[in-house]
Amino acid sequence: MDIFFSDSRAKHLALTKGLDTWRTAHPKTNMKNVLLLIWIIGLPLTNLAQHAAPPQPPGSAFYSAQHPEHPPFPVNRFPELPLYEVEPKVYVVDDRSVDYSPDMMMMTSSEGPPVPGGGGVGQQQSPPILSPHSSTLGLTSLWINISPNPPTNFFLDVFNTTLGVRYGIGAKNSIDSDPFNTLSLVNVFEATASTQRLAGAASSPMRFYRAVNLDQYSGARVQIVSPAPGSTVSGDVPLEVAVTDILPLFTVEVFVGEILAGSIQPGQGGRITIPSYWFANGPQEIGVSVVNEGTLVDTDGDGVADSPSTIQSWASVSVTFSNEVYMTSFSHLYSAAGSIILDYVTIAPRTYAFEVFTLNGELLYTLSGASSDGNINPQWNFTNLSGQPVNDSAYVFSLTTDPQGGGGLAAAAGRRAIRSTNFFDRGVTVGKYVISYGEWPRQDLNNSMSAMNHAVSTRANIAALNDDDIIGPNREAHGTIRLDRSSDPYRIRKATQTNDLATLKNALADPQTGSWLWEGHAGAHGMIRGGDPIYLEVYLTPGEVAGLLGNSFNWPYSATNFVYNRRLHVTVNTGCTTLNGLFPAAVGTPRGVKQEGNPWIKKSAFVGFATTSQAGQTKTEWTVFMHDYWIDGGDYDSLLKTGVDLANLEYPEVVEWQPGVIGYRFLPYNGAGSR
Amino acid sequence: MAAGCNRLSLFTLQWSGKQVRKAVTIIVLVAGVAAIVFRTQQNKDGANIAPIPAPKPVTDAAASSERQSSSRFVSIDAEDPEFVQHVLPVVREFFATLGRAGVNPLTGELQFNKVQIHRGHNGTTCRFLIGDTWTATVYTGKKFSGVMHFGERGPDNPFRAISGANTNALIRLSERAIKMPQAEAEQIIECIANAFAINRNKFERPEIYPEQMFQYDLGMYTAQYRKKGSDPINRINFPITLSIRATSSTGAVLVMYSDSGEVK
Repeated sequence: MDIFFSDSRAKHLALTKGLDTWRTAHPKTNMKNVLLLIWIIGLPLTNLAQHAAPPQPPGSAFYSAQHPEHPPFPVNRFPELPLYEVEPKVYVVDDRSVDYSPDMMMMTSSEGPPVPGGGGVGQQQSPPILSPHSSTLGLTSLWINISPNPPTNFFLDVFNTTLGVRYGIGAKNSIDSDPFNTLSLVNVFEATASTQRLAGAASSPMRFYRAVNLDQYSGARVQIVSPAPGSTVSGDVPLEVAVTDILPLFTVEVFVGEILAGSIQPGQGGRITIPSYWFANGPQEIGVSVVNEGTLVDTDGDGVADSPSTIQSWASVSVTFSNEVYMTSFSHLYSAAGSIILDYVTIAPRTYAFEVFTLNGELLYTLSGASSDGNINPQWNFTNLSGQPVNDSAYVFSLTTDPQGGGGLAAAAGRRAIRSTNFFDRGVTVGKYVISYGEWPRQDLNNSMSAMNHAVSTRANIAALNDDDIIGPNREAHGTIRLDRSSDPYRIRKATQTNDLATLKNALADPQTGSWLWEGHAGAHGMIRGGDPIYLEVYLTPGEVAGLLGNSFNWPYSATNFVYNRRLHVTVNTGCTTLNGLFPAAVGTPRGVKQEGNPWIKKSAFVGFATTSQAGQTKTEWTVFMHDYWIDGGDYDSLLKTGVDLANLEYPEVVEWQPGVIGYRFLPYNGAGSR
Repeated sequence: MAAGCNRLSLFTLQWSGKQVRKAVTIIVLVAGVAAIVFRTQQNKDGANIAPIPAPKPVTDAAASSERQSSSRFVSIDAEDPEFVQHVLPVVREFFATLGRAGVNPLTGELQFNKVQIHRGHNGTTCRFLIGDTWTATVYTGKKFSGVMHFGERGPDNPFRAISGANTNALIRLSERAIKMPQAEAEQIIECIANAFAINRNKFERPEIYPEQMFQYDLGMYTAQYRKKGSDPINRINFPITLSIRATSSTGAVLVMYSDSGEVK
């Protein structure tokens, strides 16, 4: 497939390729400013047309008026449209009537070129081959240009490169603005000149290219297109997000404050609606978190990139929410202990009907009444219409309100409904003692060890259920307490049975606070041991970690597939990008579940790094210092976060790895028998 | 996997005669990217991404004792010159600040117990108890000197009760809690922020909320200051957090203060 200049479609694709390329290469382009300036000073394009250029000499550059932020093209794609010379051999094409939508871009060659202004034909002649040229119009940052390399290949010139700096070429085959339509990194080079020429095969399906300075790359560029900063919004608020990246995306999540309000999926075009009435009126911050697949990094210091490490980016916008009725305690995850009281506020007196449904739509509970002092606080005791206890993992809450004193059409017009689907922390599973065992060279020994440990595990679990030292003095505080009868011994390779047994027992000894420290690299699919000999070495997936902690964690790893039968605990995993990965969710600290200030959820915490970390003495010492302060500081009721803050002060080189804490700030660790 | 390799063959550099040595470097880099794409694809496919961990015996006894013995905190006397000369002035300034804001929970002579100190590369960390029910950590260093944590300790520590969902403690604490309107709490917190000279321009609007667990209201409010534009999920982005407990409908004392020393 020849993507260049063999027909009019190819030329058009090449143009859009160039347009797309510029967006990344010039995040702060001044070309747009130049054109804007032209317009602002009273020289609209219609006037400039009077100065339309004579036939353009070879080596000219043609900018798009519709997309001035994109790079110039070496040929005028639309000779029928007005053309303006802004400096010698530099032109602007008034292509504002051209449809650059993705559908138009993906036409086959037989369909012809895009139709500017509803008519016209595409250019048929072969374009000139441009020699590399310096930046134009004062453009000084990185940009690329495309020119044909007959008969079937093309050149891609990268301008304004710096010698010795590493650059990447990203490519994609569609300019669809969906955030997940990111570029793929197809080439990496170290610049040997200020202009670097690369040759491409025109048969590639990749059509749109951008150059990226990899030495300065720190993740996706995220932009909230709407709503506008400072705006006042209500109801279902349309949100649009634009993402530029050279790596495939894992997730695009939307937050209001610290609470997850939604997740943008591929194909949504970066758009989602935010139910603003789930949140209190007044100033709110809408944030977007983007996590990409990352790259392989060297985690063991051997100079070989060996483990994937995700990269998180963040953007936010401040707005004001204004609704007649709203929630003040929305959470994706509530506690199922005892009963639940939901908090709604109304700015004027209203009558209400409150209903609870299962996820299958079965009505479990209904309550009606009137607001009191602007508050509506329905309570539900986790029972169905027959008064029998229910124990689902999630429910749908519905509050429908009408203005008080209204009637008929007026009431119907003022009716408001708030519905939310919420998940529940379902108490504590006791006795999840999973005895690990080593791997021996003889299968019969392994079989015997497995059988022995299974028996030990079962006995330990039964004993745990009845042991007040393990449960603690306040069983009722945990809600449902279950006995885990299914704990199978877990094999941890090459660790001795005795050591693993002792270590795991210690790690899980306190059902409320069992803390795990995993030093090593963590990815989505497993963890790799680190270099710290004093902590447990494991090789587990997030799903397995969830299981060990008593949670259920199934594919796909979304909120609907978690069941938090969890104890209170802290998990420390100092591997790369663990803060962005699946481990926080697996251990019961899902992103977006606000824990501080949330009276409904029992607490857990997770410590990790947001970016790539480097194994070695620094990380080990940072980790040990944090533990010295926090875990071994039980007499002092030390804060976990202060431990991390202190470690950061003491080892500032770790700060660029973005150490972080998700979850609650305080967790007692030195409970009886915790080690 | 094959697609990834094919993509890498998309471009070739055009070499000049002088670029041969550079070419070798770039070929190595491209090969590195090939490895990256290859390995990433492996990962996508669910294949193992690392060799089996090598054996590394870990004995629990050794682990515990090593962790214990490797603790860099050493106990010192409250009369130790280092504590008296370097830590105590910071503590006194802290309580003087609380006094100016009218929220000092401690009156009279302060009794310091269980003083531990750690001398680090960039500063000294000192943690200690005040009486039997208060705890504090002070850091004195090149970048920052001040109180990093001050709060209650023991069974009546409200954050211990909340984080442990300890119903007995929550009931006990809520029964003796004094309720205060949030608007009143916000005014008091504003006074504290002024006393500590917290630069509001560096933070988002502070998030202020009542401390509760289940239906138990502890009569406390917490204020969190987050760095402007930072990810609110990561607690590290909240350099300063403080909590007050109502002593009347219009008065309160500070019962928890946390400062990362990063920004004020």
